[in-house]
Amino acid sequence: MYKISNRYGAAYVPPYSKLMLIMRLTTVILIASILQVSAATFGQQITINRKNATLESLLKEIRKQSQYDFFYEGKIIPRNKSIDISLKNAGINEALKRVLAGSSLTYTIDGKIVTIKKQSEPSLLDKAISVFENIDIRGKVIDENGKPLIGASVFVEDSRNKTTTNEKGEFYLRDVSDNSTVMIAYIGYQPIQLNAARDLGTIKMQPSTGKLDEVEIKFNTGYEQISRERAAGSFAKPNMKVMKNRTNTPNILQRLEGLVPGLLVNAQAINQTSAADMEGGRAGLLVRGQSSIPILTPGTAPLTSTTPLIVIDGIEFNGDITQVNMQDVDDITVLKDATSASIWGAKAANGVIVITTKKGKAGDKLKIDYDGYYAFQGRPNLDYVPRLNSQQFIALNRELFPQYLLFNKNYKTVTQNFGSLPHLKIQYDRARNKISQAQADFKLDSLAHLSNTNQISDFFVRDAATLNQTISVSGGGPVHTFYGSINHIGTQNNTPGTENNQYKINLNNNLVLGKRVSVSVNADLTNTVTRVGNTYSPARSIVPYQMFKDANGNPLNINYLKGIPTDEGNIVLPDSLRTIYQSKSRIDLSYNPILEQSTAYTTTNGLYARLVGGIKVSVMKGLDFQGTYGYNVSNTNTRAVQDQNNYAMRIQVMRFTQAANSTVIPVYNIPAIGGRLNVNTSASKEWTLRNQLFYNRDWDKHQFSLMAGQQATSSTPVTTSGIYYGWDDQLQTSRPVDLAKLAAGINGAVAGSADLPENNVGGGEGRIARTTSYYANLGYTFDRKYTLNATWRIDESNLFGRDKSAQNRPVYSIGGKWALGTENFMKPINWLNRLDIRLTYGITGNAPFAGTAASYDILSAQNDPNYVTGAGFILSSPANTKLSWESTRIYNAGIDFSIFKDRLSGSIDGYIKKTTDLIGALSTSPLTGYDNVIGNYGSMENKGIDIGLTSTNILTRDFTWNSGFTFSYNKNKLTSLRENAPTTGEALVGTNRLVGYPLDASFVYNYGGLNSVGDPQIRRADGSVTSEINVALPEDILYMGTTQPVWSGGLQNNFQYKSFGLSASIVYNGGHVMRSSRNPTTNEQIIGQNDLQLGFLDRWKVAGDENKTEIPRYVPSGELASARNLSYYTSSQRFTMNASYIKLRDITLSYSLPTLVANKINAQAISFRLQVNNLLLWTANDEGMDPEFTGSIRNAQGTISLGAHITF
Amino acid sequence: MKNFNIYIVGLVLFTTMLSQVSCKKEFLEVVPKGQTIAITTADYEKLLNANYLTSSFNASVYRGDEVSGLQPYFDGMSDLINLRMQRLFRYEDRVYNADQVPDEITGESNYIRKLYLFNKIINEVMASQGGTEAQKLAILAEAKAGRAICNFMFLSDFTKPYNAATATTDLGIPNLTIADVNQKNFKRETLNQGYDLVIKDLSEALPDLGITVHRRKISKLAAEFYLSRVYMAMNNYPAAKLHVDAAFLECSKAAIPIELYDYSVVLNPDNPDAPGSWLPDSGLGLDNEPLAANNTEVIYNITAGWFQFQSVDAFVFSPRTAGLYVPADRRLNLYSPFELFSAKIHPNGMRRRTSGFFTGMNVGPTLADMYLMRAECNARANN
Repeated sequence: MYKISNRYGAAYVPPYSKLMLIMRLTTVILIASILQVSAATFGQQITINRKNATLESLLKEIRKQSQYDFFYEGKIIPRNKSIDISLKNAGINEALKRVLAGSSLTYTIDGKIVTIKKQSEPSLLDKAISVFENIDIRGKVIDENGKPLIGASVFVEDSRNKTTTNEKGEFYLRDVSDNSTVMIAYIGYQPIQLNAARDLGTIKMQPSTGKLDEVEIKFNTGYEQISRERAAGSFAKPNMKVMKNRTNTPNILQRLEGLVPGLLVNAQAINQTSAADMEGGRAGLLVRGQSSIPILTPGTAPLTSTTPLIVIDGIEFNGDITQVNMQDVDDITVLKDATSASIWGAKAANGVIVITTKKGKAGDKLKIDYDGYYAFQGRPNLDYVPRLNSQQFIALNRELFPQYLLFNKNYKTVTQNFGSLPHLKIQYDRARNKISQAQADFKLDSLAHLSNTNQISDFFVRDAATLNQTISVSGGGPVHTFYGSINHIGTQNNTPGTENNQYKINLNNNLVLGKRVSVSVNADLTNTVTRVGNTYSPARSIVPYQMFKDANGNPLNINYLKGIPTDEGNIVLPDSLRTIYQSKSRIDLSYNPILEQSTAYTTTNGLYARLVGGIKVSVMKGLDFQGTYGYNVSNTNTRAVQDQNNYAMRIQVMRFTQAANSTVIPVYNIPAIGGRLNVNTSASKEWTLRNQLFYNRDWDKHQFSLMAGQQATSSTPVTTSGIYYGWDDQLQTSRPVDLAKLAAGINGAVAGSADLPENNVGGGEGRIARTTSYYANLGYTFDRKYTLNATWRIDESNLFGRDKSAQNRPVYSIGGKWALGTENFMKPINWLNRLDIRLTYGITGNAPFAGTAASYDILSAQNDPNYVTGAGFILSSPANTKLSWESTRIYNAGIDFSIFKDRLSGSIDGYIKKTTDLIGALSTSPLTGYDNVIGNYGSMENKGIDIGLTSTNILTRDFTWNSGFTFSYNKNKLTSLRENAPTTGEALVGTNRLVGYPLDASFVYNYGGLNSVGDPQIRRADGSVTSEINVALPEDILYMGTTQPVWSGGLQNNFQYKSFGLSASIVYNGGHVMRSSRNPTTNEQIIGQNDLQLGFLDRWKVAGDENKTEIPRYVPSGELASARNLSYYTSSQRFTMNASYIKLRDITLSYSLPTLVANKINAQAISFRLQVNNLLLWTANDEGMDPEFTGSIRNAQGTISLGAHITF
Repeated sequence: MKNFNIYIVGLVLFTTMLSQVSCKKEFLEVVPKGQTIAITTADYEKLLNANYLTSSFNASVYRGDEVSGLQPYFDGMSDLINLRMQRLFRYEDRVYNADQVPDEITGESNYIRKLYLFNKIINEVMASQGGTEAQKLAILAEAKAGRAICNFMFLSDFTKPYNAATATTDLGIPNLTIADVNQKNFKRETLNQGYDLVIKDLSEALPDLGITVHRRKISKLAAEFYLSRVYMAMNNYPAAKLHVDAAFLECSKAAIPIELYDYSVVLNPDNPDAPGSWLPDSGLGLDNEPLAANNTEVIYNITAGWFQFQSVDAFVFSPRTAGLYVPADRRLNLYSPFELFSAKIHPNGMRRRTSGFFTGMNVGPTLADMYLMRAECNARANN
């Protein structure tokens, strides 16, 4: 190593002499600036044109032309240095800079005095000044072996200043701001960033190991990686950067919204799905339309799934996707057609999402990353659909009560149905002359002045927020590489008293054992810890005047809100009966929503482990053996504690209490001291064994690969449950109960006979699901232009019937690809960089859930006091030996292109999916004993287009603008269904599927306005209108469309200006319909709840109103209500609207700190981001409804999150 | 290198072995836990233990002369179950919509569904494991008698009354003997063939049936009763008499009490605290009415469900029926004069049923039936 220096006679200048100089100069400056205020601005024009001139001569020339005085120490001026210079009408500064450039000299100008001095160790002050000074830098670049790298690019960030290294690897850059960053790049090496310094020394560059892989796009099928060039199938990859920055949900599948053409993430469906039905975070996801009818009738367990198969690190993942940490995800591939997905056989028809997690890279330095964000989600809008306020509610009651009273004179019956509601009691008290009109008015008026909106918001709702933090470490050497991360997600939902935390550890190890064998071990552990309190969930139907605390802040008893909770719902408990039960049982039966909050809680502790081991052995040249072994196990413990003050607990004790009257000593058959503990454990274990041989060979113009293997999977759920009575949560003790007595039934109990049929222990091993499969996959490419892909697979499973025809049904696919753009005749088209044409055909399957059907008559145990021995077997489902998986044939045609120097690239795919053998209620001859059995009963079709585009719109050194666009169109049609079609209008309105229409079809009555008494009418096919019930026929019914989006997609724009990034991600859905949340009607004869919306005030009231309004009248009796059909109005086209919308899902502003600052805390990079989520941009409906929320509340919109990412 | 080859060979062997393990048929032929299939004789017995027959909303109730329809409830009925009742009451030609399957056939504990179960047991039980020959024969006999009861109900609902002169040409029912949901061909046999199968099944079952131990277990008593009933339906009163007499003999052998209730005690509203009283009436039926399994009049329990909120006040017994009861008749306590949840009294003495509101009422053979049958046989024989 040597130094290049233009100093000679390196003299040491003591620091104090410099200080002296500054002081002197300051004096001069002061005087000069007073006398000649603007001397400097009258810059003299200097013109010099000389070659091989010495510095000294040039300085003299400048002094002469500029008339400035020069101060410098003679010996610091280099004597033998020759300079070529050409200046014309230059200012003094420019002239001096040019002349002194490349020397170690610097100058200052004070007034008309130029001081030239040697650049020396700068003082603090100089440092501050020097920030604005420019320097010249030099250095040498060598490769990993120490050899000079010739032709490496060296440039200054944010400027046009650049050069390349010479044959010795040296470079020299002039006029570099010394606070700038110097970049050094060489193809195949990792770029280097350095802070500018005069001498950067020798810089060693490291080859970028993964660099070439990264450039080559690879698709992962879960079984193998295929390079894009050799893949004929329809694959898609999301923009990982947008996904990583999305903070509106930790669910990585939901973060895919709008990023993958052909993948619909239906926000409306997600919002409507209860947590229990989220299918492990998959609900609402559809790849290329719905190709199965999962649920037979509402409320029954699903038979199949419509959501894509999730594969993580090659192993099918059936757990909760929210347990996968976005930061651990390296890559995602979505498999959409038969050629890409049919390797997954009988589980591939809904598409496959293949996730690979991060691995350490050999040669990497130890890298530590921190990523965290805090997302503030706020409170939902409880008044999304406006309702009557207290004044309107009471006024309405006053108006309607006289009509109601005519039909309901008996107050006792009213309380039996509605509980003891204050406003009804007042009105009945008045009607029965128990109070005066003035008293009634006063009481009602005081109710009208109360509003519980604020109390509901204060006591039962809180702001939601999420904190998500990850620290990851990766690194490794040639033998061992690793990636590890720890993650914490703290979720605060809208319900006070709830805690939700998830902790994760992920470890990924790869070992290279010699030249032939490599082994990988991946362990991913998740622990979820939740605690749910007993917070009252405020139904919006509560009467609006009902307060929860009185004016003094005391919690109020609100008995009518809770009756006797049963499995079938709440049984109303009038105050009169409550008092009797209370006095007999000696148990307080009042219900106080606020005090209830601390009387029960449920904790859940879940532990989930995802373990994947892999081995790869190179058997001979081109032939590898690969073994993949996955083991997923989960265990969730739930403890639900109710203390003895808990309302449900008190009711239960009361129901089993025997006491003939309030004087005898009650017999408590369930302990009245202590509460109850319910413990539940649910565990599952799943394993996958896969052995495959992989042969890969390239020769001449041929590229050939063949994979064949065998796989077995098994999954078993196990549950246990236990109930402890008389539970003391502090002492952790329980009391015995006589279960045999409770099961036989307690006669003469306080509220009538009661029995407790369930045992206090339960659970057991669940339905086991096993499969065994064989598969093969072939890929052949000729001349790097013509590619052929083929797949074959057979699945056998205990989920299908015993019959040979059910088991022996292989899937297969065949696909071809033509790299048209590389043909010679396409070469003249300069703007075209790539053009591939793909065509594929094949079959994929969809398997039923375990337990959907069986090859044998299934018996289950049942108890009943009327049974011969009190217990026995019932035949719960008859055998169907012929059930087979749903089969989907997929035709796919696509092109991939890239144009204008890869500025715009994209894929366009068209597909037809024909599904046969849909699993559902196959109609059988009723004379067999069963009119239907779970079998293969229909077929449907999905056609569509997927478009994905990415573009680089602007690309300069400081500013870039990239865009991504996806568009998916899907047309779905049910082509056959072996079930009876509806024969009445009512049945058709009630269904959402009909042959010839898309799934989720919306059928409605054709509203014919009101008749002369204010009841709704329908317009029939012949044009007549009627309000008569039970008369509509299918032909009278209108088809409005489907409630499933027909087209959907997203648009992402990413702007980068220096250290600032701005990205905006828009999603859109359309072509479908939805039902309005409005419902200005009621069939409730008494106004006992506040379900009423404002429109009700504009209802039909007197004859003639039918010309002014279309809202039906109020009817005061059940008889009148059942003589009309209110759905003629509420299920008509009046309430169906276009559901199309565009939403700005997220907009993110990010800023990366300068490397200099990052380095100060020993970090390599620090960036911050600010995100705003969910801004509704446009809706097609004119009611301003957000189609993502069709219920009565809407989640907070325009929420904000803050995030940071630090790399050490 | 040699070592390595051994390793590879080992690996290939290991792989082959693994595939052997997972390819075995047994790997897939697992019986999932949480449910079971019938294998042992005991399994079949348990199937019979939980087995019972019901019918819901019997068509004959709504077509019966003793029933009136009450407005406006009658016109206000809207869903399919209720529309069926309306149509039955009006004797309309079409009772079901074209897309409906008759409730008589689809009911979960109705005779068609139970024929599947009885046929399964008849065809399989003799090959079951673990039981003695006698146990298997007893189960077989119960199932055969059960099949006969089902077929008799099936004949009663869907065929003409038996007439010996035309029975060999009148259409009967398809005689169902196989349990398989994939069956597709069903042919109506003659009425004679139908009755023949019923009598054959009952006669074959008789020797292996036991005494009455439970009111939901088919006993020799139940089989004799049904033989008598079937012969009565065939107008063969001498044969009916033989079997009803045999039934009375069986009554005395029963292990459980078989006797009539004293309605003046159990239905006495003035003394609801009397031992064995069925009262009080909570508004939703009599609180202490005995369970079907404990009702001493019941020989073999078949339940008829009729509870439907919408139709509670729509169908009441007619004024003419009301006229048949003297005011002091205690059986009136099985009916309510009030509208549901109301103090409004039904007009003209009409009443609605409240007893068995949720549980349904027994329509299977009772001791009272036997007295009536014997009386009729005697009367027809001029005794």
